[in-house]
Amino acid sequence: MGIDKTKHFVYLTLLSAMAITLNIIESIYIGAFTFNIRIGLANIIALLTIKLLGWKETIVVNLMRVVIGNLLRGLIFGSTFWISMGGVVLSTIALILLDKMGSSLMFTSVISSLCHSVGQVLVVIVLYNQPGVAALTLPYLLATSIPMGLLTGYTAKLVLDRIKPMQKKGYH
Amino acid sequence: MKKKEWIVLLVIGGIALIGILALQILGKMRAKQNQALQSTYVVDVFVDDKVVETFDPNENATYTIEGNYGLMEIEVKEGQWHVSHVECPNHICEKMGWKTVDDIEPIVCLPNGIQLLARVNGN
Repeated sequence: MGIDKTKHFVYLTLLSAMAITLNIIESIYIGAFTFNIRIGLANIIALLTIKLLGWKETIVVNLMRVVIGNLLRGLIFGSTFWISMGGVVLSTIALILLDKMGSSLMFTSVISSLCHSVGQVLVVIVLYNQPGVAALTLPYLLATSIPMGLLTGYTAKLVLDRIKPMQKKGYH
Repeated sequence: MKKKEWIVLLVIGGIALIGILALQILGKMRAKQNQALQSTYVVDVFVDDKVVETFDPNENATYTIEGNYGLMEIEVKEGQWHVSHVECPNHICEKMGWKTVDDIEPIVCLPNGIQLLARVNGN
């Protein structure tokens, strides 16, 4: 990639900060629409990280976003934290696998968004032992993950289209 | 996006829509069954796995439940109930609106660990 160690570290820090900020902005100012449907703005940063830095950095950025995001909102190690963690772990695995398989950015974004919802529902099933209740929300989450994933994927594509020419010119 | 990827997305979207349709049909079937049997319902308020309050939806009242995060106020009026106020970061349960015994989706507040589940009286 041609980025030296310090630049790489600065990039990682900036992306983590952006992911945490978007996560907090979304949860405080945008919130959920009906049920628990969210845009998943922080997913844009996860997509950018995997394309710009790599899979290891994506894990770091996503973990930082959940841990620090929840810490700043005072929700660390509460039920919300574990639900977020479940979603992020599954979506990160999907993101890495699809990137390795060479899938398109939009498709990766949608599947990662879907896996985020599924991961959250799985944690709810385990935490609350209510598979019926969780199953009721899953069809709605799956249906809305597709447009939300396309939206975040498209935004990430727009950003990458602007960053990549800068990288080639050596601006990083 | 590749053609194969579009197909996968369409299949997932189709499954989700079938799921939503099935839930709607189940809800309507339940409403019809309720009318036919004239069952009487009560609503159990769970905090984690324990029932902390049980109310009759036909008796107008307000209940305050202490959850894992803070207090939740439930208003019951003419066979319907909703969360009028909750101390939690999300406030999703407030947005879920009024529920009746015919609604298939229960009111859930995950930060508080509170669930409001309707059941046939006597079961």
